[in-house]
Amino acid sequence: MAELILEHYAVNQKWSFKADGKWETLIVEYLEKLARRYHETGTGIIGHIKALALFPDGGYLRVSVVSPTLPAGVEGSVPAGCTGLVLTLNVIVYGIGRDLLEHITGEEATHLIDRSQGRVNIETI
Amino acid sequence: MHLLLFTGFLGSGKTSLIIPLCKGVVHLGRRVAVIVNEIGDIGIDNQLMRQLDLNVWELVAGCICCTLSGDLVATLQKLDSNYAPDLVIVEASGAADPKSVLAALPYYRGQPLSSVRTASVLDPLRLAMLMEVMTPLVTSQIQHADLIIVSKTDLARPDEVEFARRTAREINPTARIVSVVAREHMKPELISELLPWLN
Repeated sequence: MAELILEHYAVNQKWSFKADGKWETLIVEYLEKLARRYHETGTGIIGHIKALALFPDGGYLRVSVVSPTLPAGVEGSVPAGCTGLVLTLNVIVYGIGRDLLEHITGEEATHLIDRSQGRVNIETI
Repeated sequence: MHLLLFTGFLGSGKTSLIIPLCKGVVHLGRRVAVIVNEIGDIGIDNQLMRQLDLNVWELVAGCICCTLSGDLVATLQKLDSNYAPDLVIVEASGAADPKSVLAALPYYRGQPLSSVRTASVLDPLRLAMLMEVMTPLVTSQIQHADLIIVSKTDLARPDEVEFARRTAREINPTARIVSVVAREHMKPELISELLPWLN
């Protein structure tokens, strides 16, 4: 097997939701989809995809994905009535280029907005 | 100042163990500092630990086993001079070889470290795959441990847990091996295993 090169990509996103959001479901769905997309590139292995969501009124969610076939790990809780959050995403993989990581990560954010019929807005900050 | 190095592959569960360990040690009236080394432009674990009011120093954008080994030593010296904790926990990045991290410690020039202990966290769900593609790194992480913690045992199949324990034993016959479940509260017995000097 060719040497696997460590690569990483990090981004801050501001998420807003029209009405009370199912934040945990949305973030887990996003990270698990990223894991599957990175895996589908067929060139590398996933080290760790992790995100920390901080809510303006306090509270946090830490979501962690290590494989396209294993469920996400979630810690923390969402305060009631929250309509926004700031998400820090850190992707660490082997064998996938940074440009491709950035492309897939952005594309899946857009797809998440589409799937939620525009109820979620994600902005890179 | 005692030093506890946490090593283990990316996503093995190091942070999930360190957070309750810190809380447990602080609860015993001891001063704890955590040095977090994270791969990436933005640290997640250090933000989370700050959110939980833990005393955190971060080393990001590199690995303490190579490019940031000097930063680790400098951070230890600053901690010794300015904060004098009873315990420093170093969370190595999941890509770090503990051999190189430990090799940097003799360059530390503060008060002598009272003890240096290494704990390696093994994820039984991925160990078989990692032993195929990351053999030297994972082997070193097991080899240099005083204590091996098999994590996520409630999520893994019994044969995966058994494989992890057997692999750990074959590579490191002298280390203690313990098993924990995902997001378990830190049991006093595990604190004693990690920090025997507290007893």
